[in-house]
Amino acid sequence: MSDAVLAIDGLTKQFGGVSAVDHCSFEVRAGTITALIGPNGSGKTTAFNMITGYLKADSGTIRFRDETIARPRPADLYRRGLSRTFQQARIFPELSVEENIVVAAGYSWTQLFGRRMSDSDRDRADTLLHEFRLKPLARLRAGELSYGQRKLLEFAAVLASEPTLVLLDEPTAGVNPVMIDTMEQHIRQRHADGVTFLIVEHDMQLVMRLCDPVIVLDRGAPIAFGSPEDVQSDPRVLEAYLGA
Amino acid sequence: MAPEIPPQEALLELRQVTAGYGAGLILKGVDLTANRGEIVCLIGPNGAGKSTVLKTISGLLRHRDGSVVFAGEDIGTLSSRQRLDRGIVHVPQDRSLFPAMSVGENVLMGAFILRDQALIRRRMALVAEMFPIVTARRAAPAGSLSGGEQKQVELARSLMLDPALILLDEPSIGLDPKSRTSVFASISALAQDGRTIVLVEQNARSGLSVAHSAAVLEAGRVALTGTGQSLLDDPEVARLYLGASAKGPVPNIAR
Repeated sequence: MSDAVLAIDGLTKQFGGVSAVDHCSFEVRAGTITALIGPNGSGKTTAFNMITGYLKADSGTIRFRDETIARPRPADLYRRGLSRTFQQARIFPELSVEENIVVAAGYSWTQLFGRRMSDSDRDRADTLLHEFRLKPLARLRAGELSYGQRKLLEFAAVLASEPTLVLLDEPTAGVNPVMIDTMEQHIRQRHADGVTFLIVEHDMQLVMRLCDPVIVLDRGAPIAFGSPEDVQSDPRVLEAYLGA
Repeated sequence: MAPEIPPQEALLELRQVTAGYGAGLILKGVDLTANRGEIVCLIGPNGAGKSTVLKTISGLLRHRDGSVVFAGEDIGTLSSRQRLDRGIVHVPQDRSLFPAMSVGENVLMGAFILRDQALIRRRMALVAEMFPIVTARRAAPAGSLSGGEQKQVELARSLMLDPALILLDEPSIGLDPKSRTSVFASISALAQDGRTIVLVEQNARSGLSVAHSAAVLEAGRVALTGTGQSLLDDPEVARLYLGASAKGPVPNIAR
């Protein structure tokens, strides 16, 4: 038994001769808030997409909760406790804001027509919506939300699920700084409950406050791994990512 | 280091602008002035109407009441294409490149209303100098670029018409720290060239620090205006809009 909740080994993906992810190996230890950082185009989202089954890997293996996932499928992984968000938030635009939270909590969406939500589900949705200032919009079609509000809704929806591991792809992009603080509190709270996080993020202040360890990708593979302090003084990381 | 204030000459003036989608109003009477060569930064909570302000200026959304005046002309009834002819370009927040077309082709699309091939080539060379990715990935399909790389190509494309007014909706979104620094430097350089920029930024600290003037939008109205620096220094603004993440010591690397 390893304490890695997620382990990828030799993961590779080429797009038209360019290796987006190139023999990439890393582990995410259970109970950590791990950051995955790196320059634009270094393969962070492509790695996420292969891990979560949105993209087929050319080669390499993915282990989740001590099982090799030969053919990752998003829905299977979700049921097994792997949730994720996207850079461009993916919500259900035709469902209401509130319904988006409820389907994330595990209802099949057809149930929304036939059965009423239980009071406790509605309460939980209400609390999340209130905290992200979406409560007045609960009955609105989610497609009418602004970019930033969609990011907040998607984040709230992931919190409503019962994940073991959450992959967040730039959760704070386009989000107001005050709401970033709220997001951070939620991540810390769920982390204290035992949820593991893997976060792609360019807000280095947030990464340095929140994450440990930090994995740095460049050109499709890790170039550094360690505590935030180690990584931010690593000359390779300064060169590739942070700038002098 | 506060930017120098250029000569005051209003290029753009919004007066009591209202706008919305469907039945509701998103903007409930917005006043905003941008002087020539000035960077104006709009900040505020998600859903306050910042992107909607940009759309009423570029004509993607027709405002209902009030007026939008550009270079002395009321442009409120003009189509977005006509506003493009006046020199107003808009870089939206959502991804807007054609994913199957190459990077080079996408940048050329930015000059689609031009016919002078020599001029197009000159402009192409200029924007490629500012955004090296245009040359480095010229033949790659735009859809194969990462999110941050696509944003840089969108900025490059917006310059092909040599615009007088550039509307930027979160230009730093998804950019890594190095690219973010270079994008904000590019924005400052564009203003020094005499271009006017209206910038929406959730990365409020960086946005305010390059801005000559700034406005806080809250629930469809301008709640507060000032210089970029004065809003940065205002503890109440920090508490309400910049969050704890903008306070306290900043790690060296995060600049």
